[in-house]
Amino acid sequence: MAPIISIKDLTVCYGSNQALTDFSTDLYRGDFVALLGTNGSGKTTILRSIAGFVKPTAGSVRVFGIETTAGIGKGIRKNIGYVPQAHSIDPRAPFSVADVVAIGRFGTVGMGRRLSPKDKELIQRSLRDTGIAHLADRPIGHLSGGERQKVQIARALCQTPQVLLLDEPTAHIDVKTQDELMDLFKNLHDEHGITIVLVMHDIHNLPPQCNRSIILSAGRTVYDDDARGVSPRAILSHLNGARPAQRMQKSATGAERRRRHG
Amino acid sequence: MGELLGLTFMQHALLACLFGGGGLSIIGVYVVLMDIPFLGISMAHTAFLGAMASLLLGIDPLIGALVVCALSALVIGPTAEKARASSNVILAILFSATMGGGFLLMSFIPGPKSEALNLIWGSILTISRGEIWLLALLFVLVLLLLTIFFKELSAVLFDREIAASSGISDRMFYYGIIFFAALIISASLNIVGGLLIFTLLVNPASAAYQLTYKLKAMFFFSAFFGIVSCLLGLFFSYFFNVPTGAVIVLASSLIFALAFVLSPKRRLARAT
Repeated sequence: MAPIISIKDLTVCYGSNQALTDFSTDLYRGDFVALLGTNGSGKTTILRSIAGFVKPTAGSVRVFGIETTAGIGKGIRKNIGYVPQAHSIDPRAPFSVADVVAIGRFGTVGMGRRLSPKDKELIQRSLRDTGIAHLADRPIGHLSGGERQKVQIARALCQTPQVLLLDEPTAHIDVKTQDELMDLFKNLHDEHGITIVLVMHDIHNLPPQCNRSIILSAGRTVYDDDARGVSPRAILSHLNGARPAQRMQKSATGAERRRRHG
Repeated sequence: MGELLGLTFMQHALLACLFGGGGLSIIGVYVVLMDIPFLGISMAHTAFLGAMASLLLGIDPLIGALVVCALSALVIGPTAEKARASSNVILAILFSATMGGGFLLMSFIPGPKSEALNLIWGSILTISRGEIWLLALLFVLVLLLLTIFFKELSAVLFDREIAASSGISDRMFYYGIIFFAALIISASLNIVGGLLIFTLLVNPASAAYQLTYKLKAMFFFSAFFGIVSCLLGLFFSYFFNVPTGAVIVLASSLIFALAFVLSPKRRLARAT
């Protein structure tokens, strides 16, 4: 099976700051990948590179077989649901929850065209699937942090994406809502078959469906392998650089994975 | 009143209120929601600079304002885009520089400077038929584009990156907005003048922002407040013999103050 996202030797610099160095990985259909690492380790840069918002300094990103270095096309974008890190919204903003969720359909509908009944049904379904149908008419600025995250996930789902990129979706959210979101990701992965790349800080709360972990430190990969069986303690020792030997293991298991995917 | 409305200059002024006040206030919704007020100020002062250069060269100031302002959109647009993440300092410097340049060019204009002064303070009662046609054309065009591309524009206004992630060409719409802002500002220079025109971009839209959670309603309220501000300014200045531009600005500020005090959003914020 060919990878749906292939990143080769990706290096990204922001001015003099090298955010990512020679990062390579292949993501396959059905993967549920956790990107872990300390602040500033390059997790968000990887997600934004896949979504086409970052111009690589070196290396390449191929999404669905198409090189995105020279800018990502609309056709690819609508297959990627991108949920950025939560940011504050003015409570007075003139947008309802339904307005924001509908944005997910706009790219697919086409410029200057109106939403069809099928598009409106997809919007309703996304609102239901994320458990926020009752908030549809509420101004977006009146929601809690967790509810806003669900709105962004519903907006991304509306695109009927093949890949969902989630950047710290549980940050600053209470434990109960974190659990609800994790259940939602599990459902999206298991029942909708969506490939998920999840940036996380909370290493104790990785979803059980997560089949791969990529651990980054200072812009470099220190671990890229099976997530099952990787304990929080092991993750911490990778982050602390206590187990460099695992890097050797990485390439072997990478080859193993490629064999597994055919 | 009937006699007053029968006067040609007054008819022109009323149409200028409708098309200019309405057009500026609609563009103002973008300026307010994208949080780029300095972009509006920079554009207004660039239009003023272009108009002064035209007067110096002996050509129609409207042409100079349109050309220089449209060209400046190519500089101001990317500057505002980059400044988004940091501050409006670059735009603030740009607007003060264009203002200084405008005044410098004005000092070189030989003879009486009444036409140049009209461009500073506005002169809605002397607005020409050609200017009315241009304002009407731009107003209709802006309304038409807003209707056709409402969903794309609303996505860009909510968040450019989210709009882009769903496959919308956010940059095209962003630059389109700036380009039309440049055209409408230049064409409306005679209504309140280069010094105060940005208030018609910011005040009506800010007042509308206080009153509604619906984007469509915000566009409607903003256009309504912009037109009402211009009409109030026009009639007050006619009956009390005071400068029109200044009264338009004061009227729009008063409308904002009322909207702010009566805002259901403010009351809600206080209650929570």
